Amino acid sequence: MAKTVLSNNIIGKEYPSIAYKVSKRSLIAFAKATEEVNPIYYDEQIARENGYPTIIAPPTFLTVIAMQQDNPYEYLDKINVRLRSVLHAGQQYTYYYPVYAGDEIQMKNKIEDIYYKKNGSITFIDFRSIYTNQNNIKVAESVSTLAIR
Amino acid sequence: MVSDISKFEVGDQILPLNIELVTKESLKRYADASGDPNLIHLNKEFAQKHGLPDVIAHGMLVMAYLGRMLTNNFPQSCLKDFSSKFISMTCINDELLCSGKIIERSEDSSGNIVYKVQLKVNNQNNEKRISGKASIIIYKTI
Repeated sequence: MAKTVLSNNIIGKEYPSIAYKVSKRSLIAFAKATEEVNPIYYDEQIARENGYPTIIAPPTFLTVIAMQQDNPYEYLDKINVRLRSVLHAGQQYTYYYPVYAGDEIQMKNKIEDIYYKKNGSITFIDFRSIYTNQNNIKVAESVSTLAIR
Repeated sequence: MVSDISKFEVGDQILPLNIELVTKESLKRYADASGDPNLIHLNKEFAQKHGLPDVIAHGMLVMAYLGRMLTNNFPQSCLKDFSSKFISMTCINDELLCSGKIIERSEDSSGNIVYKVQLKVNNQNNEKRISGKASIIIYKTI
């Protein structure tokens, strides 16, 4: 029996979109925190010399956007899932267009699927997010899979 | 090491990345930079209350290391898909080895080369932390 039973009715549930301005400061902090040594990710001058308009966001930077709220885990509260019972099981990105410092990204997030493994003792939820920039270009999509014990 | 990124063959390893040590400071820096306030990564007592011996690393920090390995090998514009399964929890004092192997090489209708890369992050005891996949496209130069 699943310890956490979620209604299948929430499949398709959409969350309010989140707007986020990608600052140089946040990219530099992210590069530092991930021990990045390639200067195109933190040095604007060198990024330009390498043909980029400015500092570029690295492949997993988009994860930051979901955290830019007063309560980053409100999306779990809303479906009565306790953070303490959650593990991040998987993450998937598809990239369409680069993200640069100065971009204004809109993230739309929805519940894509709910399924069970290990005889129902673990519940999995897939959240799909779509990221669009200020020119209405879709830059990426992601699927974040949480396991709930 | 293959210097021309269009010349990888199936079975080739790409340049790996070694992360010498995962420390509490690494987790604190990542928590600040990512905005993730979850105390399971920051507070030992909190982690212990949840049955863990100590704080654990953010899965996304380890995936970021894997992403660094990919962009060390290929310009980021070549990266089309990138996914990770978090197999086990990364702990303080883990030494991480990120590695990747070309498992498929094909050419699309426009003559671009497409690689599928199998990805892995193991610690110093060969415990698998992440298994992942990436699709890389090397655009045909005219």
